[in-house]
Amino acid sequence: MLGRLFESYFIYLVAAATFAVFAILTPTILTGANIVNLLTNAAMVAIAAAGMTFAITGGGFDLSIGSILALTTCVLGKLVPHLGAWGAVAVALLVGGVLGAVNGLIVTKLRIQTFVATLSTMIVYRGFALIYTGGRDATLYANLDVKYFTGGELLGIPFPIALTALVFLVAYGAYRFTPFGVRVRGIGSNLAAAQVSGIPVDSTLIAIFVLTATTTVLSGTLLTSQLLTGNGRVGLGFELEVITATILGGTSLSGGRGNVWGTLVAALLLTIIANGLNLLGLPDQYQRLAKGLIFIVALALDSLLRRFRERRS
Amino acid sequence: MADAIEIRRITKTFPGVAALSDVSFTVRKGEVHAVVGENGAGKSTLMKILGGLYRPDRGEILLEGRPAALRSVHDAVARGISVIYQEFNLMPELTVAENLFVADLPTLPGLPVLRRRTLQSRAEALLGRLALDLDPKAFVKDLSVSRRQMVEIAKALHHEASILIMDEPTAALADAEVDKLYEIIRTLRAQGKTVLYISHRLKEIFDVADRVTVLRDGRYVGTEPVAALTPDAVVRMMVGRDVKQFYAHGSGEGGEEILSVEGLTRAGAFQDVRFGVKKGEILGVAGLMGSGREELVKALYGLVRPDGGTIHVDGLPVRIESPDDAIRLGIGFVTEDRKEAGIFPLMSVRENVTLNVLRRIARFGGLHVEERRERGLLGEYARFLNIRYASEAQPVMFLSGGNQQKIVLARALATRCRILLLLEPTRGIDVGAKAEIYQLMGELSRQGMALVVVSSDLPELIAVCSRVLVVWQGRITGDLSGRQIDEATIMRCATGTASALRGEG
Repeated sequence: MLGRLFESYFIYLVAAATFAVFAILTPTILTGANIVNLLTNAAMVAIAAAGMTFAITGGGFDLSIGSILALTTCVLGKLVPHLGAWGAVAVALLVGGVLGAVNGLIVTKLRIQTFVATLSTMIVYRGFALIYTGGRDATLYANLDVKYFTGGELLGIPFPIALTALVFLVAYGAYRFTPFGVRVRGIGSNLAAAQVSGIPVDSTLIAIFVLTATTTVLSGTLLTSQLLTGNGRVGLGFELEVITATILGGTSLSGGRGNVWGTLVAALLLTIIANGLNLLGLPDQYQRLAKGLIFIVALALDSLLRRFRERRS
Repeated sequence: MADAIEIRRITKTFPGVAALSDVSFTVRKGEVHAVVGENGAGKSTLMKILGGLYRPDRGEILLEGRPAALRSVHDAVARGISVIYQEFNLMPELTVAENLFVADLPTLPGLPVLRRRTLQSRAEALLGRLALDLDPKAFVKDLSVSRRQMVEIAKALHHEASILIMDEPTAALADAEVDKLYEIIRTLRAQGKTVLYISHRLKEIFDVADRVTVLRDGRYVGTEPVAALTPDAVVRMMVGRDVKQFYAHGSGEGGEEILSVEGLTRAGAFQDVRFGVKKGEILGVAGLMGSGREELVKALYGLVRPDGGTIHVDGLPVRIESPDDAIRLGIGFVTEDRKEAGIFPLMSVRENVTLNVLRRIARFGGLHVEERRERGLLGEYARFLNIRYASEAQPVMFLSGGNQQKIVLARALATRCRILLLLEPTRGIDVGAKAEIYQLMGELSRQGMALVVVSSDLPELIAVCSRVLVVWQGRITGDLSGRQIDEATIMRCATGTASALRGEG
């Protein structure tokens, strides 16, 4: 029992320990401004990872979200001047929802594996983004409404943090307290059984992809607000960062078992590492090395613990 | 009163194979109707048609006299048909209650919010009605195979089904649980439900069924009341000839001891186990589920690591830490879980057999495997084991259960093992293939191989083994040979009600 508890909270310990180490090495990390900055950066990965948690729990992936992120910045870059910040975000959410549904339809109706299906749409959607902006930046320096999404506050809380909290409360609720959550776990656990049991497999899978796409649009909104420009080339490798956070957070790659709060903490951990290494002045190429090593150590410890528990039980 | 099911001239063809040709028979309302036949006879296809998973090429199904279009699982459920398939159809990461009601989870009115309490109490009510002792909150992944089977049955029954189809429902059950299942089936019959019961185990058909329909090679052979039949008559109908020597007895007299263990212990699985097996001996290992018998045998193959004790092969102490170690020592292994741990479903027949010996048959330091040598090896075992397949490049998943089992056996034999560990060697395979496997075990023992057989099928152990160890709570409570080997004695040892029996006299 203790082992199981330890296992599901392992990521929290790693995050706390990492934060403590950086706090000793570079106390700047503890300044209020840096913490807000850190949380804002974490929000971008975390929000998309909330959606990804459902995709991976359902036994799949969504590799197209990096492209959806880029397309979101483009849509906002083009439309904010015409529709205002909120109107443009509404359109972006709609576009994201449609692209997610397309992913879902490809997976369910054409029966293509999620990995390959979203690998293909990853290329297509980035194509859309580049075509839409003609490969140029769609700058928003003239219209600073979008600034609100990173600079503004909601009920006295910085907007990105409030948004993250909201997304994760909804995600946790959906995972834990709705039939949708049970269906996603069921599908990820045994697809054939889910089908025979009468779970509406297709519509659930489509819903999952709509979810990954729309959460990514929210992440993209934060990014646009930070960059103040729409660009079809941003977000390369974003999907990998998001998948890393989800898996590091304890969602099982083999499907069926997710960990919503673990995802949030892992996204924070990733940002703490990046932020800490930056503050330490480590050049980018060494940062990559350090990040990779930290992941391997964390995953190895997790796997060791799991085996230890299985042996004890 | 109209018949519950009327099957009219059903034909179903798969590329290259006629699974069912022109099959017709009727199932009466409220009867337990057994369908038997060897693997490949078309039983499973028929069940899948009734369950809405397959559509027949020709023919029609009438339910209570009315034609039924069963185009999907949903259609079948809507018409009151519920199927318990042979493969487990549970979702391990969901709880028992979630598995039972996943198709219609209770929610707050108008909101997609689960009512966990309602779910819990519905599950309790259903399990209570069937007198099944299961915790609705337990995760299915934490349940034993037999408990999963109980969940499966409960799940099939909650849809208010009037027709229940059971495909090999006892394949994974221990005897006590089989009795429990009979009880459930009789209760269902008393409630006027119709049960279609598919099994390879003839004893069960005579225990539980009212009538039996026999299929052979996709064709209808006949339907008879069970009371008018003998087991031999059913076997004759199934295989179309007499099957002589249903069991082939192992000999195994007087060989020298090839494998022995002493003080073998693993916390929570088995304690201080000591036994030996001789060349040419067929040693049975009996015990109830959870007695530690599988773990014990798996320890000899390096799949389970003991905490203490020694293993000797040819009188020399050995360390077996992985299957690779075991294979090097001449120990072969046939898993009880053919589907999950036995076959590589998508790989070819040839590859499945030669996989463990590629190092031996490869040339240029393992760089090149000559297909000719692989083929030679396959041909040798295909003849010896009478394995039937369309082509050596055929993926193993398309073979019948019996032939898949022979492939797994061939892979073990290809390592040229001298000691063969077999777990449930005939689980889920038909009578014909069973008899062949028994004969094979006899042949291997005559060639001097030592066989260790774990089986839940007591008549099988009694017929095949020259000696039987009985395990209870991780300890050997019986070491029976000769006349001592009978069901009553084994059961007494297996339930710990006999003081330890060792050797004859």
